[in-house]
Amino acid sequence: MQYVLILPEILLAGLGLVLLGMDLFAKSKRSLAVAGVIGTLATLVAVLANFGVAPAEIWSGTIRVDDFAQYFKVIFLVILGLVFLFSHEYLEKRDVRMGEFYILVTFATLGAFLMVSSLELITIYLGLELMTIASYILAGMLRQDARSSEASIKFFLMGALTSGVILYGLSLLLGLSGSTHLVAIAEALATSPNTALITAAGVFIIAGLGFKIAAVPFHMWAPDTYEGAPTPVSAFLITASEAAGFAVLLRILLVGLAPALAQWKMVLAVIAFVTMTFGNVTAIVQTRTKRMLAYSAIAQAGYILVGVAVATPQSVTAMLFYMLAYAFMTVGAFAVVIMLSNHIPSEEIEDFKGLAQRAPGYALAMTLLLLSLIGIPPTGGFFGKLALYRSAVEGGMVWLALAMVINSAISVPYYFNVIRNMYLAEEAPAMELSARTGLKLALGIAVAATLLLGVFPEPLVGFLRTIQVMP
Amino acid sequence: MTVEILQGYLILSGILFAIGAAGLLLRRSPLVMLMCVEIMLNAANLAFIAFARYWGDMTGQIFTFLVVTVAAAEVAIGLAIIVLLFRHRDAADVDDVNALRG
Amino acid sequence: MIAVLWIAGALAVAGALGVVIAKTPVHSVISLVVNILALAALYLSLHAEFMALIQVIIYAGAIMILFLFVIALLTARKDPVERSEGKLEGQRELGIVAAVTGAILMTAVALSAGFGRPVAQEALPSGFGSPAAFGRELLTTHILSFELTAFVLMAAVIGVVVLVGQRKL
Repeated sequence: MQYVLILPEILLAGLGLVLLGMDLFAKSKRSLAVAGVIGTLATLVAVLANFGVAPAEIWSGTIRVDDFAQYFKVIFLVILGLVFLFSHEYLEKRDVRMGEFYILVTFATLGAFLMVSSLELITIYLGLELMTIASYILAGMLRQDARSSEASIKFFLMGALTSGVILYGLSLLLGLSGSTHLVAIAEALATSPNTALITAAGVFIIAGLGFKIAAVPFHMWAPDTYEGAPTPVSAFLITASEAAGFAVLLRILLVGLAPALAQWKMVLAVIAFVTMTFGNVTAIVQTRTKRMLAYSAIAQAGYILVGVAVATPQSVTAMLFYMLAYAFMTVGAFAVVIMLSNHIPSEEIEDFKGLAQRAPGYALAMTLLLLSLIGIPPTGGFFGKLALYRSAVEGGMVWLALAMVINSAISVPYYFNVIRNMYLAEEAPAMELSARTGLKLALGIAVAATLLLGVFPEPLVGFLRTIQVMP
Repeated sequence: MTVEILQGYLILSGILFAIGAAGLLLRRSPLVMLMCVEIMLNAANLAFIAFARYWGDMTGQIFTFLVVTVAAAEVAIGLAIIVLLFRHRDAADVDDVNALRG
Repeated sequence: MIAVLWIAGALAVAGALGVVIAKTPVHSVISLVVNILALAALYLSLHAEFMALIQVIIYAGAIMILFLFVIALLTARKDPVERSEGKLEGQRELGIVAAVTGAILMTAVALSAGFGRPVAQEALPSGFGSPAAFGRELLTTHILSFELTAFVLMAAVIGVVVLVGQRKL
């Protein structure tokens, strides 16, 4: 029975090993991407089959299988599958080692899986480390590019600092309770008089996870890393790595630190406010596409953080919904950026000039995804933001809801700048734009899902209401 | 073990952690910064082991063991990135020299 | 226990300070070895015999040698002196102030209150921290975490090959 429950992890680990073997023998590296997509689909089936089973803790409580974990696994698999679909041509053009790229992305996803499917600090920490160590390598994979190495070392040193900070926070949690299980920690905290130590542990853990989700003031590594890393890696880090950080933040705050949650809500709300405002204002002046998307990702992390700060069942539901929509729209936008940078390597926003004439389909898809990022109907981004906004008002944080609305308005210029470039630019350099089937498929899936989540959100929302963070 | 002795170990671990963090922020050499990270991890490990002794539970020691393993992997990657970085800088310096010779 | 705490603790702090202050990376590594050995002594005083061994073998042995190798590799051609650009005026003072403040705060936190366990101490289980007890705990309760570290190490191996290995194998 317990092997059925962790079948997704087993399949994903197996996929990584199969890819490792195939890399030795396969003549065409494209077969690795195909195998990756098949493996991702198989894992997805295993995850979906586990939905609705009674929450269970197996292997002495080191693994917890519940719908919260399954839902995040779906998000990670969606991202992984899309990355498998759209990376091939980019990696080929930039001379990145493809086999290792696919293997490491799979391992990073495995780490993210283990982060979300445990209430036990050791497993969470090891999952986090597996994900980040794979990410350090992925960020430095453009070996000829000095910027990629600089991005990698900055990312590495900041990440290592973060691990140290989180680890110290975890050691204080262990000291308070004598246990590494979040439920036992919550029980000990409810009776323990040591508020100074609880506060210190909370500061370390929130600061550490703040680094992972690139919340201001812990964001300084993010723009350089996202810009310098290979573009498919940036897409993965901005979506999957961030979602995993949010999942752990939710688990630790709402389960482990639940008795002391009230004192953190205001701090988190202020961090959310500063993060979204800083991200949006800085994104306006950017001229490089990836850097603009990096600051946009910081702003989006601010929106998602609202869900943590409000900390009601409604806000968690809204947050879960928004994270899936966010994964689709961001990865979709990156698919267009990758398509364009396969033809024009400079990756400036100017490159979008005249895209509507040269490739109307891509321009339309990009417009839709950007509208979703702003939060304009009929898109998933709109519905998710609306739900977050409503939960903030109901949760008594009206000022934060207001800040979200103002921030959405601030974000309009820089997203529209791309759309303006695509449609209004006068002279368009004549150039044939084409893409492989995989990229087209990935973009199609992302656009379709973004629209679907915007038009028919009710079934998913209804399901998300049943998800419990608490055991 | 009494609470007073536990507090002694915790203070030591806190001091080590602060030194490591300050060194990471002060120094600019990636090698030394990596060593400062190791000091921080070791500070956390000391706290884990002190708590394990205090609670009479081995979980803290197990955690420390796994942290040491992960730290080894992390150091290997960090040093690889540093080597890569120095290769780029070497190439850049060579270019500079050529530019000076005109 | 108190004596070990004072002596080894002073050595550990001195080693850590040495890492930060030393002018060349080799001196930093040697200071770090002092710090690590002092910590191993502290682990022994806390009945963590197996961890003390691991600390000496893996940390002082394997990891530090790795550092020395890389330093030798990089300094063979020239000294990897740190680039002073981006260093702010008065940063050193700021850093010292930050470190002292941090240490004082941590001390205050450690001294703040009890740790939720009655003062009456029960005896430690026999064999606490010994290799046998350690192995039993690691390979039963925490077997999954143990397996997981295999993946972490494999990712690291692949990573080193990808980052600095020869382009064509």
